[in-house]
Amino acid sequence: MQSYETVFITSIDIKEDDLNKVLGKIKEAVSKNEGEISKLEKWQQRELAYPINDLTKGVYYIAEYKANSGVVSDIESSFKFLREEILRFLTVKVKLAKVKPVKPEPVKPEPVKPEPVKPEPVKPEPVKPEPVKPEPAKTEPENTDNSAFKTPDAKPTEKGGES
Amino acid sequence: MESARDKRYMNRKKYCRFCKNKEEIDYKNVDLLARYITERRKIVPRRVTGVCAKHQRILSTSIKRARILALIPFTVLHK
Repeated sequence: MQSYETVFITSIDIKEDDLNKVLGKIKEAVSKNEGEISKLEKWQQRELAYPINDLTKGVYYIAEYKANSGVVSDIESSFKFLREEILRFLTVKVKLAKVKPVKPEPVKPEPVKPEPVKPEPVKPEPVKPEPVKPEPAKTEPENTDNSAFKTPDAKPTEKGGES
Repeated sequence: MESARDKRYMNRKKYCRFCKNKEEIDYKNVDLLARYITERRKIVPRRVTGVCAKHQRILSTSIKRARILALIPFTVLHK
């Protein structure tokens, strides 16, 4: 199964019967190939960039459908017998599933893993002698705490300076 | 003098809009495609526009598709 998009141009003064005949051909071909039509509508009426069969204006129609690959040849061969109704047609494969959101996810975990790199647990072993140093270091924080207690006197002066 | 000359040759670096803005190129988007054809309706080379190779490929096929559907002219010489 593959999804396709067909755009075709008809003249402005196409009769309803002829248009229904064209739309019927598409529906027929899609149902024949076990597919389903998701969109079948008029796109716009616009001036052609260059005259086709001496016509300067055309009506564009879009058909989107999903079916087995046989549809394309079925539709296009039936369009070739509708030369009077259809000026131009173009069928294009359409991508449906975009896997973009999936890609960023595996990318993010990679930078996250390097951070908890396990060398850190390995280091603590040689670090154990070092913890002796933190103890004297703890005494320092006490000093800093004392200084912190002292600072409140200084803070009001700062606030006063601010005000 | 030299500094003036340097300024004249200073160019802003080109970048691929489609990579940066993640715009999608569609053959039905005539306004977008019209930006990448010349006065003579030729496809503008990427050395001029700065579009990356991947998007230039998509762009050129979609311009060609639009031409077939008479959304964009092939040349100026159409009657």
